[in-house]
Order: sequence, then C-alpha cells, then structure tokens
Amino acid sequence: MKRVENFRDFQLYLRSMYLTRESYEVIHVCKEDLTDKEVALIRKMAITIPIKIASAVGQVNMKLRFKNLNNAKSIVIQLRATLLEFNKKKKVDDHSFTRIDGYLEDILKLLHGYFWWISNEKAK
Amino acid sequence: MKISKKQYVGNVRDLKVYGKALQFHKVIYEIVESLPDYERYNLSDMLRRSCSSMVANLAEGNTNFYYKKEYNHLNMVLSKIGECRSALDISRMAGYISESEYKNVDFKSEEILKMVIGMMRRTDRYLDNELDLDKAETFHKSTILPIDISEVHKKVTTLNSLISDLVLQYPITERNNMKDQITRAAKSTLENLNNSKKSSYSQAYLDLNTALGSISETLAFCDISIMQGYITKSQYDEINNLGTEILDLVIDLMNQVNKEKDEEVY
Repeated sequence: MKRVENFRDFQLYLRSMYLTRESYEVIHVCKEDLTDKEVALIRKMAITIPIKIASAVGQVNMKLRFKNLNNAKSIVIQLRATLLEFNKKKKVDDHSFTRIDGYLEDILKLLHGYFWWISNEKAK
Repeated sequence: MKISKKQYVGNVRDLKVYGKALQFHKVIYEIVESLPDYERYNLSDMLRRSCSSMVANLAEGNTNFYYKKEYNHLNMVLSKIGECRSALDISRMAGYISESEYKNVDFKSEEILKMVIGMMRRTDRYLDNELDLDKAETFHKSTILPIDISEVHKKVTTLNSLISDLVLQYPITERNNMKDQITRAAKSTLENLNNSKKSSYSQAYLDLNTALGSISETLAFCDISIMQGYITKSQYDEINNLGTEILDLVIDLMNQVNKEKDEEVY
C-alpha cells in the first residue's frame, strides 16, 4: 500500500491556504464594491481549492488524485478569470489583484509540477 | 488461490471506527452551527457533505463481499477526512472556531485517519498475498434458504416509500446533503435488486453486492439522522428493523446465487 501523505506538509496546500486567506482579505477590503453574489462566488472558489487539494493528496488512488487536482486547477483558472474581470470593472483594486494573482500563479506552477510527477509515477 | 472475496460481512456498527466517525460527525455539526450565515452554502455545506459521506463510505465499504471494493471505499473515507480537515483549517484561519476547539476536532479526525489506514493495510494484505482460502480465516456461513426475490423487492419498496416520507422532515440545510444521499442510496438498492433479476450469475452477485452496500449506506444515514434529531425513535426503529431484514435477505440471496452457480459448473 502506498504511503498516505500528510497534505499539510505540501507547499501546494500551504499556498492554497494563503490564497484563501488573501481572497477573504480582498472580500473584506472590496466588499462595498462587490455584490453579495460576487462575494459568494469568490468565497466558494477560494475555499474549494484547498479542500480539493487536501482531498487529492490525503488518499492513495492516483486516478482520484489526478482528478481532484485537475478540478482544483480549473477552479484556480476560474478564480483568476473572475478576479481579472472584477479588476477591469474596478471592483477589485490593482494591489489586491496583483497579490492574489501571485498566489494563483504559484499554485498553477506547483500543480503542473505535481501533474508531471504523477505522470512519471504512472510511467514507472 | 488469490483471495478477493470475503467469506462473511460484519456489522459496521460493531466497528470502533464507525462509532468514532459518528462522534466526529456530531462535533462537526456543532461547529457548522457556529459558522456565520454567509458560509451556509460554502464552508458549512462542504463540512456537512464531507463528514456524512465519510460515515456512509465506511458503512458501504464494510458491508460488501469484495476486498477491493472495501479498499476503494476506505480510500474515499481518507479523501473525505482530508476535506473535513482542510475545511477546519479554513474555519480556524478565518477565526470561526477557537484554537482549543480546532485542536480537539483535529485530534479526533487524526484518530479516525489512523484507524482507517490500519484497516486499509489489513485489506491490502488480502489483495497482495496469495493465501490458502481455507487457512485464511475462520468464518461462519449463512444458511442457504430458498428465498424468492419478490420478498426482498417488496421490503425494499416499503423502505423506499418510508425514506421518501422521512426526508420531508429534514431541515432545508440538508437539501443538497443527506436528503439527496439517503434517497439515492435507497433507490440504488431497488435498482440493483431489479438488475440482479435479469443478470448472469456473476453479474447478479455483483448487483446484489452493490445493493448490500447501498442498504448499509441507507442505515448509516439513518444513524446520523437519529443522532441529529431529524427522525423520531419509532421511525428509526421501523427503518432499522426493515433494513436489517433486507440485509439478511440479500446475503441469503447471494449465497443462493453462489450455490446455483456451483451446481451449474459441476
């Protein structure tokens, strides 16, 4: 049986938690410009990313891991597109957007690295 | 001879880890109550779904005749524990729960995690090692009875209608969670039972095995429902008795299918 990893030791998970914290911060700062629906949308995406990553890393089935991480990746991309749109509409300020975008970029890079590792594992 | 099939299925309620999972579920629901209103469809929903799914997968994994399926369900439990722990991390980070509350519930989740890993290791041994079937385990076989499938069918239909009435009592917060899941599990039992009538022996056995898992899942949701006070004691007793009868009947049917298969082969 493969070793069950502790997801809290993973940089990917830690970065996603920073992203969630940052997203909550942005919601707090920009709440007057954002509608309730928009706030709920950001919040939902921000919490789903670390949960999907934890769900993927904390079990041993590689197919399920790939599937959950892939879901996390698509939510990262959706969150990026949503925030970019809000930034264009001046609902999210440039400073907040840049900060979140940095985390999003990091998470995407780490995810790609992880996908590469999974492919290598499969090849073995 | 490679063992992939269990000789008997035990009662999930006898497992220590099941009791711990139910206790964990209770604590999570208490935490969910303390979360702010705006988290109702986000964090609260996630936590509710993950911990209910954890209990259900434990029950479904334990109540089936295949080690491989048990392993997969236990793996799903690991995944759901990960989801719960991550949602708790977020709750702590957002300041919704205190440090002591967080540590207490995280300790409980870690305890369950370790127990599930232990169960997976045990199951994995059966999947990996080539053991002699006779030496593998002492077991008791259910007595083979000539049971007509219509009797089980009738009971499962009654159970389905009882569940349909029962879910109306569930609070609105359970709409996307337990209400849907218990209905799906009960329907799946009936569907698999119907499928087994038209299938070949091996497929019929598989269908009955899935029906067995689904009925156990339904009973697990009933355990959660009584614990959360969604259903009354008399309603619980009625469903539990009926569910247990169905479980026994399905196990007998599976033995019957096995016997008929053996007679055909030899």
